[in-house]
Amino acid sequence: MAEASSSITEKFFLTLKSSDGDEFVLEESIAIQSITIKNMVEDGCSSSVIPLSKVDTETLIKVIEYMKMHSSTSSNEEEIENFDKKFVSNSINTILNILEAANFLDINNLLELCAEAVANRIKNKTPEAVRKIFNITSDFTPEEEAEIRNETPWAFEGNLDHSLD
Amino acid sequence: METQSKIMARGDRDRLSDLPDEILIHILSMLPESDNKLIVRSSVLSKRWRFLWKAVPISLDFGRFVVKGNRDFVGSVNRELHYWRSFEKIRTFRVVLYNYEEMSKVKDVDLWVYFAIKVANVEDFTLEIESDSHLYEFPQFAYKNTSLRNLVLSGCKLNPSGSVNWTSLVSLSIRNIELTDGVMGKVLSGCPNLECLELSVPISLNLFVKGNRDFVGSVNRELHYWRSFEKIRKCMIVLYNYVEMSNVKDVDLWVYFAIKVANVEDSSLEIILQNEYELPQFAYKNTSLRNLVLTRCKLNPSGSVNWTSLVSLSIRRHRLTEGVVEKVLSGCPNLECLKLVQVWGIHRLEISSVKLRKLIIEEYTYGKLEILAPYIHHLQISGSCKGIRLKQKNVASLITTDLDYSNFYENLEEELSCLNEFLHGVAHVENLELSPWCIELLSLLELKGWKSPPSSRKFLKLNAALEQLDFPGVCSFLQSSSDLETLVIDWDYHDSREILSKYTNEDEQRRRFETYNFNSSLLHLKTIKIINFDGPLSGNKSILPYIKYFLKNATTLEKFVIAAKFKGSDVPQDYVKMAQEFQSFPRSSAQASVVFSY
Repeated sequence: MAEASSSITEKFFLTLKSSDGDEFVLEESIAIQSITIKNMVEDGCSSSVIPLSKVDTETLIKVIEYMKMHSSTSSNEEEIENFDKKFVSNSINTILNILEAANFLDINNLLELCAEAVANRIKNKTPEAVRKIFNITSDFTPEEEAEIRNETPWAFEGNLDHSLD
Repeated sequence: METQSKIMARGDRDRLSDLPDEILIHILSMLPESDNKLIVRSSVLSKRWRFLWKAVPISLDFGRFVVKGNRDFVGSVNRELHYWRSFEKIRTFRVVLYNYEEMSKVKDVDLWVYFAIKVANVEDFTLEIESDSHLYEFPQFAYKNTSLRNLVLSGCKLNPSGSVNWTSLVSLSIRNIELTDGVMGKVLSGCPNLECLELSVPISLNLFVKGNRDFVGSVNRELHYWRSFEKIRKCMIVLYNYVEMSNVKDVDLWVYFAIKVANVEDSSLEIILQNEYELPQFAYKNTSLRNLVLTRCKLNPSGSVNWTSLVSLSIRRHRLTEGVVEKVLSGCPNLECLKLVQVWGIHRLEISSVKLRKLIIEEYTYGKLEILAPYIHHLQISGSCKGIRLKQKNVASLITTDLDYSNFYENLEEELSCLNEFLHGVAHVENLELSPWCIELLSLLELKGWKSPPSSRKFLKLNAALEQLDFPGVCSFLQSSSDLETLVIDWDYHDSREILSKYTNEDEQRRRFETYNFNSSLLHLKTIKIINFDGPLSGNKSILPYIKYFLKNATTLEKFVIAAKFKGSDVPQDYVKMAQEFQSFPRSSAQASVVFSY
């Protein structure tokens, strides 16, 4: 084993620590898809464990899965496409967790993927349905809401989807 | 328990609204472009969302779905502009107006231009006016704007009274437009960053029959302004129905501009007229042109040619004279790609440049053409090219050949002998691609007892949804491909086997396939891919026997991929079931994996 690894280019590993205290060891070349981590590595802050206080274990596992699949060396286009398709079928809460994490970690592709998944859940829905799907509480009084709708009545015309899928 | 309650707590929070503004705006910008109402509707969700929508960049397109004759089209555009002006950023605005009448609609169009240029400060603006009788006069206020990057104007009259100031403009397209003296110079002097200029003169329109000569004349007089523009990369001159020989001098001047003055890199010269336009002698010397397309232009250089930067050259629809291509090529030391489309008149094409690696010939139908090109790597032949003759020793360096023959129902015997000869000529080629008609011809040749010449090809692509009729032809061709490593079958081509069915039928071909010994030794075949497969699989009489045949005969097969054309919900139900059934087919290579992707 030692012989085999010394014959190829030396690999560097980083340790990422989730907000739940779990530690994950990851190849540096994979982890630096995150610009945040890349900057830390370049600033020399990566010798010890990198604490990710805003990312819990469940989310970090998903993010690592994504980065592994998208690291340039391993997978082919078709595999990546299928992986992404499956990835966005995660529950909306999971997607939002990942979106937050992708924003914090600055992983542009992942952010785009999740933003699109969220947009797909919003399109064609009534505002009421969107509120239910995302747990948004309206802080408008009924009068205020009626007034806003009145400003742009044309935007509320047409057939809308009331379902919560 | 603890985790459970944590997830619950997290689930109840409004996590979407907690995200920063720029992400929420980005999410909203990903809603379908065709319906901007979706974005506006977010205003009512909660106070957090009240004004976010205004910052989402949008596109307005009144042209894509407009039906001609919509009476209230103008009214509906005006109404919509009123709605959308609350958006802070409108990137693109496109409007197409049919049946323009000056008296009744000029104010409305003025309003749209005002909106685009003065209110919304759009980056891309397209204004297309169509009318049999009137041109729209582009308003004076619109000649000053610093946000426009791409501008397309059609059916307008340009006549700036003062100077023009379009400092950010990168690309300008002018179509169906009337110009007067000095206009083009004024416009271009106000566009210091212009990189792409497109000028189309479709004088077949009624509107321009009378005005045509004026147009040509005025553009001619403008040309001297253009010489100060170093950034014009692309120049396209298209003249339709150009018949009058008196205008030859005008066209010469345009060519002079493209070749000598502006030093453009890409030039496309398309002259469609009854008498061929002869490319002027000065045009044969130029050192900046990289790509050149000449349609119906007569080539007759009297001295040497000097196109030192030319990388790609297309000659289209023109009768060549013997030796002229060689003379042109001798002046193009850096040419990498030569394309001949519907040319005729020569019997021999000799390419001796080491750099010229790619040759494309489309539709060489009159007479025979012998190709001597010892250094080309890539040869593509399309359409009906029965006249082309190729000998292995004359194309020794060929690596890739794409035979895209199509059937013109002419002399079948001639086409068969042409393909036969061609396959001998490219037997040494590593990568070969065959069109549906070539594959049908292979079957016809096989019926006649023909044996395909032994080859050293390693990669073969067959563009056909194979049928039972093709069994013997395809299998016999594979027998001659003993070095083959990769086979790709593109199922997207469903051509009828009209000619082949006249000589045989499915039952006979299947019987012949089963009784004759077509078992070839596919000793090196490692990868088989069937792409763009569609239709049901179970009981499919065309694909299943092929799959069985390959699994049985490819002794070193590593991967067999069948990729469906449609993905997701469009895929027939039986694919999952059949994917399992494939596993039970007998196979001669233990390591072969069948991957079914859908």
